[in-house]
Amino acid sequence: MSSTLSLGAVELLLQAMDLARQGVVVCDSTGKTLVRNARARELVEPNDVLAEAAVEAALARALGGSPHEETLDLYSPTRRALEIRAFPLRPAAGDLRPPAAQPAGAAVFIDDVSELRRLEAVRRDFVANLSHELKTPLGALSLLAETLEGEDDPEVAARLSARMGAEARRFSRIVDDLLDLSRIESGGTGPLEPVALAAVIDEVAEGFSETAAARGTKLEVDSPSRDLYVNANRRDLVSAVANLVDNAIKYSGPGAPVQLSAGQAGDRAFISVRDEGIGIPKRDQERIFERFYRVDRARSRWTGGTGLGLAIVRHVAAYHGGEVSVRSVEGEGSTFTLSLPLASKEPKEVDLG
Amino acid sequence: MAKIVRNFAPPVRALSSPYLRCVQTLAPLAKAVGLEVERCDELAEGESSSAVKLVRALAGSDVALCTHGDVIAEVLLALADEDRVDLGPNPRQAKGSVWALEGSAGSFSSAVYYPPGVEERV
Repeated sequence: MSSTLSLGAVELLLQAMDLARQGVVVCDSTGKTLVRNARARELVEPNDVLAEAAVEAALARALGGSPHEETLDLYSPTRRALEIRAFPLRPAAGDLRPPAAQPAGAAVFIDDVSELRRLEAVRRDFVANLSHELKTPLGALSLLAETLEGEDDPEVAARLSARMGAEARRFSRIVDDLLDLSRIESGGTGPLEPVALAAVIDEVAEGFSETAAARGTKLEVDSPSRDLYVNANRRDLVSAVANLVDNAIKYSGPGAPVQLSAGQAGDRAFISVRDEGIGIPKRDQERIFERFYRVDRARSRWTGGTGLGLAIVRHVAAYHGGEVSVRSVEGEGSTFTLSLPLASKEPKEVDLG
Repeated sequence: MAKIVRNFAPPVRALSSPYLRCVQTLAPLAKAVGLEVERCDELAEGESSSAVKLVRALAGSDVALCTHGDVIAEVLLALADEDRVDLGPNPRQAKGSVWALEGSAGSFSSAVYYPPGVEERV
């Protein structure tokens, strides 16, 4: 680069640097700061002593002739991680000045990698959880198969064979739920269209009539009026509500009621699933929508849960511009509510005044 | 079995399914350490959930247990699922094999498999 940039060009260069998403600090050979772009000022505020010291130290090391790289973990005022990379700057080729022993200056590049780190931790946890969740039913099949091989008693053999079937189905359900979750996370299956809430409620209720009857659960359905619509992917919405009803039945005692209702609250539609089951401890209520989080792993084994159902519900809600919430009292029951923006089936008339 | 458990502290109890073949399997070990075999209904064939409860209650104590293949499988699966115990890449349980479980306060942290006839840790 030529060292004869006009003042106008320098001004443009500084403006461009202020638009960069990376913090940049440049100093001369004495360590005097020449440039500190907007992002650098944002990431390292004047009272941020630790970050400022780290930038100064990185510049000093680069002025010593060596590039330097470090990640700085800060815990105050908010927890964050800054990646700091410093490089010595040499005189440009063609510069006629005699070569100096020391670099002509140094530059530091600063990135806020907090979110990247958080996502990396989420990904790592997910892979670890996923490996465990898939390995468990596979290990079960291996163990049960070997037990079955040496078994002479037909009654025991039949039981082992049934258990193998259950573990194979469990594996298959986990894979199905993972594929569903992946599809929904990547934007669902297509555009949203007006869907009558009553049709969703009826479809879910019909789908569970046999299961509820088999467990003696009284599935009480309160359908909304036929003219209540939400913009939705019908398949995903039905799947989310079905997950909530499935849980409500699983975690309720035989004969206990499960209420499925829907309606309008202000400019939102809601779908509510209420049970009088075991409830959810307060400490777990924040985490039940996380992938593979289970309140009671032992119970989950016997109910056949994959640990992904509520994560699917949360993603479906978000994908529809809505949210899911839970109110629960341990020993008394739980109410899950899906809240979604209302839609009119016909385009709204515009009042032109 | 008696040879395998030499790798561990001597058991302070020897619990077996009430079925004769289990009691007979455990008897030499019990005799070697001066114990009587206690017959437990929780370890009988088909009693997997009560066996899991019993095993959990014994976590942290040096106890030798003898039970049936289906019960062992369910106990191991419960520990893998609920306590995240690693059963290895290809969990097995041949007749005459031993699983050594390590844990405390109702939960387990490790499970090591000894195939039949193997006296040292594998």
